[in-house]
Amino acid sequence: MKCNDIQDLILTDYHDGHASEDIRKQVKSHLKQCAVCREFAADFQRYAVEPLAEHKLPQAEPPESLWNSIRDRIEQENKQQTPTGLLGRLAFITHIPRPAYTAIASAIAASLVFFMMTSSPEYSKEAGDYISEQTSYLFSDNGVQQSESETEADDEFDSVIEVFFM
Amino acid sequence: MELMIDESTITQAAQGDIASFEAIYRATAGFVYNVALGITRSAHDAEEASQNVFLKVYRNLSAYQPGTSFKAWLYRIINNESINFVKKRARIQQREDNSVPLDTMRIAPELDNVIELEHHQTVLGKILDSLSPHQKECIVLREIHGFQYDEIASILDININTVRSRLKRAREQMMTAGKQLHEGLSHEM
Ligand SMILES: [Zn+2]
Repeated sequence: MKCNDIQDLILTDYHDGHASEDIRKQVKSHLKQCAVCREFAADFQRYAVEPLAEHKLPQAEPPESLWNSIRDRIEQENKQQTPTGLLGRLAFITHIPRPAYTAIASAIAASLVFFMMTSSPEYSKEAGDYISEQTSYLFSDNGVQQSESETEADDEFDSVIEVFFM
Repeated sequence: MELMIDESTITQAAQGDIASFEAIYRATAGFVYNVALGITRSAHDAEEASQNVFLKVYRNLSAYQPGTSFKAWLYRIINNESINFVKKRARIQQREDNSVPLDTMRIAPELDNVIELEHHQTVLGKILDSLSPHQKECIVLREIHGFQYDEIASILDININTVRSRLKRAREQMMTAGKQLHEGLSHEM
């Protein structure tokens, strides 16, 4: 391998633990012989790895009351919802298969809000609240994404922060 | 860090079994709360965001695909919920002083707080400042959270080669910025 290949590996797979045992051996033996790549590896550690080492996640304990609050909210939700209730029937909104991306899902959900609001007044509040929560979620994520116009030349895809549960 | 949950626990919780859901909570609450804390920088917001996260998880567990990274799936939910709190605060702040841009929110903004808090003065702040938002996302997910390439790919919805190329560019950029800063400092002396 040439110096360029070794340096690419140091920048990515070698450092991140994605290199095979064979590749690791080749990098190590190259570093023994090549002062240029040794200096590159030292600079890499110094400027791209060490500065981040202190910035790990906080290690706080979640508050004691957190689980009780969550359980209470779930119980409350379950009470409001009969087994064949509207929320149950609407659950398919969150089960659109993953390849159906945000734009499609937003359109479906938005049209459903409209449909529910206009066609079944007795359910419209419950459904409206539920769907508008789901859609504002979809739309807010879209908003986040669309505001990012930055691109990188060799990126094949922009990072699409579409709704996680699709 | 691996989350210790087996797939059968997830399946049972997805069918509404509250004891299994509590097991998922016990295994993941520390991760959820601390990521939320890292993004919101507020114990109050982190607690509320965590509540919302677990409610979303409870409702949507059946959408999780077995065999894929549960931690990556969970991270997306935490990130979305936490960013809602950051946005809410930014909106209030913006009404007050018209200065906080709302269009900068994205995945993995944890390190933005480092930059904001330290006023771009530290070496790390300056080095990170030289990265594009996409590059920063990948660096945070890899270096702060320890996600593997395939997990980062699924969180950001990009392919693994894009993850690799963004990390490579980010690190090259950090090296260039770091060396320039170092040289600048030694000229001043
Ligand atoms: Zn070399």
